[in-house]
Amino acid sequence: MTKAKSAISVRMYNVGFGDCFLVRIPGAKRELKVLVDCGTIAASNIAMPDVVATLISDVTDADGVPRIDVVVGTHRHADHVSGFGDTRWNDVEVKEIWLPWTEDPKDPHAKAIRETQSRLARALQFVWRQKLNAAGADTESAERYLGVAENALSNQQAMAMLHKGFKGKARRRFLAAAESGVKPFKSDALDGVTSYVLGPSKSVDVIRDMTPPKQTTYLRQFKMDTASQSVEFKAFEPFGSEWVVTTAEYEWEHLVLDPKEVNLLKEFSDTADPGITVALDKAVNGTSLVLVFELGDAVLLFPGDAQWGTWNAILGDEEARELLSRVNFFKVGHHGSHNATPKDFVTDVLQNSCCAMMSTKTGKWASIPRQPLVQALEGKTRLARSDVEAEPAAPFFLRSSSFVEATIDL
Amino acid sequence: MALLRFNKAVSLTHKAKEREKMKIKKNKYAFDLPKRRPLRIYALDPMAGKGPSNHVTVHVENELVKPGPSGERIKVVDYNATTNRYYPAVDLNDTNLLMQGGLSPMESDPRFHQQMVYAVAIRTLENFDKALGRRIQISRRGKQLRLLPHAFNEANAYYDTRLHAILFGYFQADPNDPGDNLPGQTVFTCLSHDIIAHEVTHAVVHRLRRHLLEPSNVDVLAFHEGFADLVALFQHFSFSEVLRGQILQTGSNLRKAHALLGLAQQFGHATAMGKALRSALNDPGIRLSDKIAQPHERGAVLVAAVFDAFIKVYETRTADLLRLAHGVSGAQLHPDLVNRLSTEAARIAQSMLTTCIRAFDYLPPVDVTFGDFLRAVVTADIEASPEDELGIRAALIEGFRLRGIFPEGVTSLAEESLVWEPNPDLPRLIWNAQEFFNLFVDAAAQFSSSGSSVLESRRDNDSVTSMSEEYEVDAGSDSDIHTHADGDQADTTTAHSRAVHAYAVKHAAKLRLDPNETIAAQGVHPVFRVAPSGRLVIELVVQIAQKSAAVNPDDFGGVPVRGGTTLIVSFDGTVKYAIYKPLPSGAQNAPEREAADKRLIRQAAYRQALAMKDPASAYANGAFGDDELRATFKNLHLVR
Repeated sequence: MTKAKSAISVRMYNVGFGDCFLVRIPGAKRELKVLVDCGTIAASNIAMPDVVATLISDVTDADGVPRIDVVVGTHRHADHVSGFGDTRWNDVEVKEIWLPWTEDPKDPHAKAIRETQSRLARALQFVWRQKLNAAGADTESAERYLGVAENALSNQQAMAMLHKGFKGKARRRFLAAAESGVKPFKSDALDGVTSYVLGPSKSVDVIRDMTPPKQTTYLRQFKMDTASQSVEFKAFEPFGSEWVVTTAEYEWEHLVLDPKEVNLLKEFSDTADPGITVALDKAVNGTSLVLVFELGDAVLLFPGDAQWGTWNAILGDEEARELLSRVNFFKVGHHGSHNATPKDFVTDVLQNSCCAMMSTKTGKWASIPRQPLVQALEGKTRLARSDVEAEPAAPFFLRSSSFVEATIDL
Repeated sequence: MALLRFNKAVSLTHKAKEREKMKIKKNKYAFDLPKRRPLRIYALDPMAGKGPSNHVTVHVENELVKPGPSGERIKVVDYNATTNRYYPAVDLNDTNLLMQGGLSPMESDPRFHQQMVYAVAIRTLENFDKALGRRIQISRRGKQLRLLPHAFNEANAYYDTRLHAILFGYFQADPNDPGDNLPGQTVFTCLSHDIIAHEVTHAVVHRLRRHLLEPSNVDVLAFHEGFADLVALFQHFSFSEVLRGQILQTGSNLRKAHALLGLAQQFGHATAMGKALRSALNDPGIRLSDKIAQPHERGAVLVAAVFDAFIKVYETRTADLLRLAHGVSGAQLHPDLVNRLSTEAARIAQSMLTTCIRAFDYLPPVDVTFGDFLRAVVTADIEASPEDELGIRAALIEGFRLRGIFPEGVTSLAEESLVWEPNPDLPRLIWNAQEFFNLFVDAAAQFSSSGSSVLESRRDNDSVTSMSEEYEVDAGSDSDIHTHADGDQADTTTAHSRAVHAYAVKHAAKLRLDPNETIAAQGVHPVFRVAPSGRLVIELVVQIAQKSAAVNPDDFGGVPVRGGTTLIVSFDGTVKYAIYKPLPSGAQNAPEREAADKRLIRQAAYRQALAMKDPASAYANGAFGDDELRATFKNLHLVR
């Protein structure tokens, strides 16, 4: 146990397809605890309420009061926050809650982004459900995309906990990346630790990427009622009734399309649009907080589910690159998907033998985790996966069916 | 008529004779059918106002056109997939419409929309005809390019290769920030001149260089986009009222002429961008870099390079006029001066556009880069106008330099190093002398008789008989020895391609082709260009391409690795230029091999980076590459 005094531990709970990481940092007076995310959309053999129970007992101090210094909600996807919907969190004392700037209730851009994203999630949930129930539908693909859409629903209960819940008067910080370079900041809640925010950015381009015009015009086809949560689709007819001719009345035979062509056109104009669905997923992932914690020699990187845009900005910045080259703990982004961890980062930036943790579940989506990425990480880092049981080996000193724990020396 | 005599003198081929007969039978008023048909359109889009500068009449080639309009090359099909209905089709031959240049511009009548997409599409095709020196055969498998002005409810428009159709969406303007539109107003992408011209250009480019839809390097799709924007923007300058208004308003400072330089104003405003969708000179300092990878953004650098050149030429050529005027007039330009300036601007814009389009024939058949385009521009322009009378070529080289666009493998930006290798060591490309000759004669006859008379030869037959050869293959089917021509091509067509193919196989090494890989002759085009000096340039343009079977496409993001060569051949069969882009196995020496290897590495790296950016790949099952390729345009347009 002497080791614990001079080392940081990171515990990855086995939540299935989701993220839940508890970081313990030896402080000057007492141990500091940081919780990064708590959510799942496809549980492991352990149900989320059980994870929450374990977690709360793990953060309970000798006086019987559960305490966490900083709770981080990287972004509002269910697989990162669903666990916060549990009312038992109201008994946990929290000093600070860190959220991306897009969660700021006072920021008009943030408000517009949240609104568009959650409305879009509801519209897409509606169309994919319809698709699922339609005769002769490709249910496999409809289910896949329904899952992607539902992950982006507003998760109101969980978000309410992060915004208003927990015990004590937790301070909410809404964080954004520095305009250029990296700017360290210190928080009273994390005495001695230097933190860096590398994402999300507040630049105009990024905001635009989060609410692309294609999505906002798409949304205008739906009527939604916030109170009843109802969604209605109405095909928008651009011309007056005087222009309506039935197919039988249509006299221009040489212009009639053949049925195959009509089907193709209907496919193009289908509101159940995989392109819009994955774009929404990307947009919400784009709001991910990307955090670095530094203490002594330990440099920990939690990129949430940040995707290409954020990574591209980070890797294009020399100061950020330098900081990342010192990382010795890396939480693998987006459950090991191909587009949340740039190959250059693994091959050119990441230190050899860096400790890496991947919280994931195979089988939910065929390409997650992505095998070439897993192989690249295995070649470069010491990788622990939540879904693969392995013999404990350095730096993973503790491993049980419900979690894996890594130790990073200071 | 001069050309007609020329035709007679050189003995007409069968088809030309047929056409001639038809023409005489049809014309009871002795002369010729009217050459042009006047049609009214919005010069820019409905947002640009109701004044005379925005409601304009354009004159397009007169052809026999059925309701739709449906003509030889363009067929407007007004089907709405969102609401599953057709709208009544406009009949441009209705007497009332003939007397007034078609329907007047209005947003509420779908038939005006049909008329406008038709008119702008024909204008755009005609610009290509003129510049390329041949009639573009846009039809595929006997089917015209179809335009669906109200295809669906979406803020998008794109060319779809499977349907061989351009699909225009409509949508409601932003309720909170609609710009100059009404909140929630319906915006029709088919009423934007720029969107129509842009999409038609995509279709033409796809016809001329189908491999340009395979994103094998970062420039390929960007070139597609930039080029389509260039065509749309330069066509602005042909609307004289708009042009005069802008010159007056900006005091001849074209850099501030937002109506001319902005692309798709209404669309941009309606989607809460507060400005045009794109602008020719958005960012005065922008230079090409690896970081600019999004096709529209990267394409914008190409557009900026060309527009810098355009404005430079305009300023040089009008400096004297403005100096003369400053002694006379006050703050505002004299109307006479405005007229002179706009004539000059329109002329230079047309020359620039022609120069850019003409360069197309001088591009390698595959894996095109911006640098290749510069070299093609320079080479094509030296051929057409060796003296560079307007200074366009010099300005373009300078424009590209300022934007950081440099071709690979050239030692300097002097004309002589930019020009493609002249007089390559290749034997004459000529087969049966009579057939070779007829190929040119037929193309000449067709090119000279555009519009009405062309249509007469096929008026009872919806399939297109063409003599210029645009070949068509579906992706993946080009493993044939040579590819199939369209529809009911005459036997001579395949004879040409067979002859070119045989030539390519025989001289594979000299053409930098790998004899062990399939060789496909993909285009044999006789072209007739009139240089600014009045000189007639007659050439045969030939594309030969091959796909490497030796590599695994999965290593290249599913995009085939291709090589190929473009040949520019004179009337007597002499090969004037050979423009190579070899596979490593087709390279003939160490430097070529090194360049070819580099090209493959570049493709692999680019494809990897692209996959990284694509959110779909996380959730698609299996080979997402195919889907992505198929949907390239759908996902590209109009906005990212």
